[in-house]
Amino acid sequence: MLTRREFLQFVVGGALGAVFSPLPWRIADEMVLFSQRWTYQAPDGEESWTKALCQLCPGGCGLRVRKIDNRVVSVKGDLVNPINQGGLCPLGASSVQLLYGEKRRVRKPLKQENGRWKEIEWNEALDILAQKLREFREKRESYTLACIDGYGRGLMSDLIKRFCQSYGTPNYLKMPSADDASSLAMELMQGHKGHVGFDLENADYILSFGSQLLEGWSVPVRMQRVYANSLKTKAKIVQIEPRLSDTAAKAHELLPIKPGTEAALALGFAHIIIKEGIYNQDFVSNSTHSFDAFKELVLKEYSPKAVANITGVNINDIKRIAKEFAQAKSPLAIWEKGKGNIPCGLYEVMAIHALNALVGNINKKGGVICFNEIAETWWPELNLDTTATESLKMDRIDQVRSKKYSLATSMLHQFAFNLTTEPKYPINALLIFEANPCYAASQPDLFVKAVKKIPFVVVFSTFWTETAQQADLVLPAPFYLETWNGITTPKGWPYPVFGISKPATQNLYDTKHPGDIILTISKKISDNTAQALPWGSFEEILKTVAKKIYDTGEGKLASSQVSALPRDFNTMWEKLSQGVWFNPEVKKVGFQTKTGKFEFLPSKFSALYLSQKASLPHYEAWELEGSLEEYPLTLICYETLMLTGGYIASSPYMMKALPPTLLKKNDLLVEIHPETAAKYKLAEGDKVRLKTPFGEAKVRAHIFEGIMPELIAMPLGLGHSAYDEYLAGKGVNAHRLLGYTEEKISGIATWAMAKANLVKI
Amino acid sequence: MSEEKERKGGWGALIVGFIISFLVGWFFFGNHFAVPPLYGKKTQPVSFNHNVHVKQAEMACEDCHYLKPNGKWSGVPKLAKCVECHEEPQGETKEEAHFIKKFVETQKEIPWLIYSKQPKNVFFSHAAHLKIAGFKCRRCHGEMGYNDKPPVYVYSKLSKYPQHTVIVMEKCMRCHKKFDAPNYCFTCHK
Repeated sequence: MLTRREFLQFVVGGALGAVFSPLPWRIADEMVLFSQRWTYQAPDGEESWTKALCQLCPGGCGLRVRKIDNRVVSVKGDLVNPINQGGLCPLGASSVQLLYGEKRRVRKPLKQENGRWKEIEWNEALDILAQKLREFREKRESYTLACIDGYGRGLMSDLIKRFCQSYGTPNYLKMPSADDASSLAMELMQGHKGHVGFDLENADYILSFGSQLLEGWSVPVRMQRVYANSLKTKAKIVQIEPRLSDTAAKAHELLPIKPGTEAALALGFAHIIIKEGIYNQDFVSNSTHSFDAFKELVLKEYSPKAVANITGVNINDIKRIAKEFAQAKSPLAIWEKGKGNIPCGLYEVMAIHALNALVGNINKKGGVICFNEIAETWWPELNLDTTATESLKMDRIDQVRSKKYSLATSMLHQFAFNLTTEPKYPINALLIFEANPCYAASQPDLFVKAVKKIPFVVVFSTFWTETAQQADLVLPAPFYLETWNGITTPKGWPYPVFGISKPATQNLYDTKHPGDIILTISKKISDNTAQALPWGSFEEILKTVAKKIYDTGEGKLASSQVSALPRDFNTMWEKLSQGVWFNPEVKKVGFQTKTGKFEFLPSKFSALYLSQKASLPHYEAWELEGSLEEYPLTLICYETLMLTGGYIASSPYMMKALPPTLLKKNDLLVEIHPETAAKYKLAEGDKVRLKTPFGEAKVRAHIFEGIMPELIAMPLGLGHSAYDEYLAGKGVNAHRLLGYTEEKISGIATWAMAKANLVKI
Repeated sequence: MSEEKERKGGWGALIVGFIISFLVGWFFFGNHFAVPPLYGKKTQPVSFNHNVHVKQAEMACEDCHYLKPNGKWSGVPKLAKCVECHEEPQGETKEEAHFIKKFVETQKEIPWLIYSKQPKNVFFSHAAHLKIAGFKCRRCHGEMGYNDKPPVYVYSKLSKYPQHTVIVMEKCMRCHKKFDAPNYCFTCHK
């Protein structure tokens, strides 16, 4: 029998024995090694570099892609590319993370059956789609198909439009953006339907009406450079915005303005410029029409005092800035709020663009540049059969082209509203191309309701979005690094650009390019669609456009270096897939209006029988929903570099870089002025219920002196319920609170602001 | 008498305890025997014969293991290198037939077990050791390049690292000290 003493001896002996054996040292060693088990790292292998063009925003920056064997490990900016010149934005830099973020990606065609997702093969998926579409067309109900285009511009957008026309549906819709008002205003005042660029690099006085340049307005990398430029060349930037955004903080001057009154301020500037006679007399008398009517209105109604009353901007500031602007060498007034995504009204754009006409900087160095793009105009003529022509005559569900909305081109908000109330006819099928309207449409809840009324919803998507979750059929699209793609001129770029991006890596998942899918199914639907879209693949379309560009003989190529066009097309194609074509010497398009001049009072308005004032650029207050008693405050939205508002959502890297004054754990912080906060007895970080006529949300208060009193500001791009754990459940979706306000004349809906109230919890 | 002896106590239990744990420690935790549960043994997927390649085929070490122009070490060659000669079987051994059937015909990379696998947080440069220090392969890799059969791959099941050949930080530092090479943290941990 072991005694206690013997047991203790045994234990001590054992411990001593262990010390004289490798056991403790091995275990210590093992612990060290075990702690060095690192997360996945790309295996060693053959290093290679290839080029690609980023498709994550309308910028289309050139990238150098580093690969180890077949795995993409990093992307860097391409120094030769004229767009980004080696730069890269946070979203582009996280391309690799988005490519391999498997929880975010749709990996196989999915079909919803009784509320459950079932993986299916491509053959089956395309058969279902083609058969349904053929059925509707044969029943002469082509118009019951609706398409929502998430690209908004470029070849894919034109391809979808063409598909809709040949199929015979008038219901082609775009995701709403600030472009709608811009292109409409350009068409009315200049008769120009093509591309509009802003030569910010050469402007020496930039008057920005709420455009958040530094946060990534149109092409983020370019804007960073414009700012760097403004330091070098001393171009003055004046920011007109209700809050101290990054752009405003770095601008030379900030004019805080009551949200939605930008048009009045622009006309106030015009008042001073005209009254003092410091406008470009030469341009105004030779190249503009109906200046007298404009002059009369502006002098009568927009005196500095009246404007100061409307906008809250100091009278002296109005006078001073107007003079500075008119007397600068190449002044430029720009619009489109946020990153160029938040819509402003038609009259607002007209009023601001009238300033550009007053200083005569249209189609001049440092001004507004208008030109046509081959990538837009090359499409061959469409021959429609009777089914298509008959069906295209039907009224659109969103009432575009109706008497009420004769100027509008696409109204997603009316589409959703009409479908949920009493549509003229039911929509049988909806195709959504790389868009996320169930999150990013104004009033997303209304859109979800509308989608639920449509029996067959197909979503083409790379990512597992809120919209994909509502679909009957999800067709996975490849990430841009996995497929052939093309870029056309970036938004706001002053000369045409066209580029080809070939796959940098093979398809990670079972995906197909939406362009290829359209081309495949159009051959199965009818002869008419097959004839309208004869190309075999999207790559073939890219090649055709490249050939058209090659045939013009204009422009230069930027691949390994900038060079003239090569002698034969094959070399050009080879070089183009490693770079871009661009043409700084493009022929600019003059005024295509009836009068051949810039029209302050667009002659196209005459068909609408408007009063003289309603035809001229003027200020109309937005008719916001809700009463002032119930909602005494105004909610505005803003954008930041680290958040993206649409279908391509912020990457995990970007989410990690959000400041704690914007997102605290999962709680969103809204910006409130100390005065307003004191009125509502709020301290930093207090929980509040934010209410608007459209919805309410629990948020926290961030006391911020950089915002005007009586305003609340929240960012766009949070509050997702889909994607992955880095995004879902974080913050609040601003669209749910902002809803929309419609401009009557154009049917444009903006979500820039809404009436609101705060309740402390 | 015996009771007294018991009370005084012998040192038997202590010695027994010492011997048992001493033996257990050396047998199960020393890597000489390399037995479970801590250790596992694996054999290479292909029984590669360095001697045959060097002596009979008259290949030089640098044919397969070399510094790339960018200064990166090539490491173990890829299958493509083997296929240069082994598209058809070379010789009639059983191993050769197995190699051709399993890897060459299917074009599958050979999952070699790397004896000198290092943690990812260590930056090791072959170039520095070959060019600056002028070391020969043997100094670190021993007789690895002159064997008829790859040695058994002994690894720890806990940390998954090879045991007989892995170099731990202590060894690195000792050698760096001996040759007066920089021994800062960031020399190896970038």
